[in-house]
Amino acid sequence: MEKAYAAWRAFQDRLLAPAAALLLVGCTLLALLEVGRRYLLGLSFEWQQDAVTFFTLSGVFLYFSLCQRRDAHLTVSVLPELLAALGPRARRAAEIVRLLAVAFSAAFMAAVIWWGIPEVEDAINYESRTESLAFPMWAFLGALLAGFVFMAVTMVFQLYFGVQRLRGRSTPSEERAHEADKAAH
Amino acid sequence: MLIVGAVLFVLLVLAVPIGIALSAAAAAYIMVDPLLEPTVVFRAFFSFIGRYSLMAIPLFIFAGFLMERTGLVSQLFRFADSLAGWMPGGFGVATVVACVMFGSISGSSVAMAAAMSVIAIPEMRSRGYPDWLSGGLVATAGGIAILIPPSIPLLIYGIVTETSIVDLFFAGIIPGLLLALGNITSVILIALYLELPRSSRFDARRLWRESKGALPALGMPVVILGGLYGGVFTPTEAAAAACGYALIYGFGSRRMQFVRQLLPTAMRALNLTGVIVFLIGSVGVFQFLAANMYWPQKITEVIVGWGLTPLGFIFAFMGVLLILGMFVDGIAMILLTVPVVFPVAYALKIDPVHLGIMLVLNVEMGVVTPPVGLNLFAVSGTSSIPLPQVLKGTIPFFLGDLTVLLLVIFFPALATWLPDLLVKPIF
Repeated sequence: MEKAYAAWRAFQDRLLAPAAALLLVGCTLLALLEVGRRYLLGLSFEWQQDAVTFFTLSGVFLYFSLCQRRDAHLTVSVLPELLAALGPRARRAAEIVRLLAVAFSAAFMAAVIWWGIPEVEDAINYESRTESLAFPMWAFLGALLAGFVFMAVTMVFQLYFGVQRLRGRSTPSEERAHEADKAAH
Repeated sequence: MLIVGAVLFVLLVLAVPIGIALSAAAAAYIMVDPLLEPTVVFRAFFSFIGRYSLMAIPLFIFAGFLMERTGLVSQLFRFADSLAGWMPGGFGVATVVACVMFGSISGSSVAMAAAMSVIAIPEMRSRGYPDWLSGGLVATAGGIAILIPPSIPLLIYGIVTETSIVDLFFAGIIPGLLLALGNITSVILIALYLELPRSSRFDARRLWRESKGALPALGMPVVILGGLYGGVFTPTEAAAAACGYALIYGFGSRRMQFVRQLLPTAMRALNLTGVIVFLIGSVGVFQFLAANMYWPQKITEVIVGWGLTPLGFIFAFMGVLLILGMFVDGIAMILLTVPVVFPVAYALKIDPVHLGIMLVLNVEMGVVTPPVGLNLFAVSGTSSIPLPQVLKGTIPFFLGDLTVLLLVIFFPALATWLPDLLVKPIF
């Protein structure tokens, strides 16, 4: 499992993150170009707003799983923190609460992915497009679906390593990676 | 409605991410309602965030991080020191002034508190400032960034409530400056009481030298606010222009070193954007359900039926926010409360711009209230000042912030006067 997680992290770091960053940089430059064209030359691409909106969002969707890996998604962490401060037994209870939260989140994401598949299929079948009609909608809905799938996969890894920690087994590489993530952000 | 509320409460207490808790609570209702298909969860999430106006958020965040990479924070700080360092508590005053200037570039409070604590706290320590004072000051002054435009919380509020973002940006200026004034007054009084040494005498030549260095950084708010005021930019275009300014300035000052940092900086911006967009999409799911069930109307009817005056409602809401701010991050605070509270406020004829500024003032105070005061952790983590010391230091400044909130509650013109004066409706 550790090897699989290392491979997953490499996929996220070497492919997902740079792809998302390139989309953001590209869309920033496109938005900038459009501001210049509109106010200096009086010209405008009718597809620009759609491109900036949906390509930027696609980059953000791809990044959801990295936010999940870094525990960046906002939570109300009062209960686990209170428990963690009460002593070793309560600390274990706090770990269980955290694991339950991850397990529920993974299950819910799986459900959302399941509900999202017919939406993407409909977008393909009905050939729905963005407002400017320049881009097919299924590509961006697909990016959201992919983002949710990557997020769910990350949650499954977090769940596995959480259970391992509860069983007293060491997960050294995962913890080191987590600390490195925290330090980087 | 009660079932959804109960599910949401349980999931939040169990530390399920707020975005997932919101969507799941809505989904729980959708699944048992025979008229609604569960696929709307996915559709509502996508539809709510698929708007051009929302792109101002990633672009402003990216612009802030890009400017941070150029090393301008220390430049702004040196300028602020040359401007205000001669006063009693001068270095503290300079810190607040630098926070205001950096706030006009970056909309992130935590980023500013972290950056400032690296630069300002060692200097304050070397000049004999007690740790509690320097830590508390930086943690509180960091919050000014979220009122001085561009402000991410104001952008989010504007998008969710469809209030003019330009109005909100201009409305944040006076309360933001009042916060700064409150912090400056507090630091001067504390410095006089503790008899802290003054750093240097006023030096006009040094001020001139440092202002030349800081000029490129100070040009960015002129571009953003000038463009918005002149009607040249929409907020999203202003954000793109801010990125363009940061790219040109960064490339001009650091050349290839800056270019090499472009993708890592975009990744940092995406990390924050990912969290915000996920949360906004989830609010979209929740709002879809609420709108379909006419919950805003029902809640409004009940609350208006209590006979609350607008001022009574504002005080009740502000009280809830102050408590909520202890446990929930600012952006989550906005997204959890606004969909429910805004229709009621609207029915009570409370100005949406006024409400937005009061809400964000509460968010600003929430960043220093434990146990979830993000700026406390940011300052304590980067400066190694123990958390209780930082917390102690925030108390006098927090009281100043509370005074500003009360002023804005009783005198709405402090928020609404500037947008009324400067922003002319097109239609």
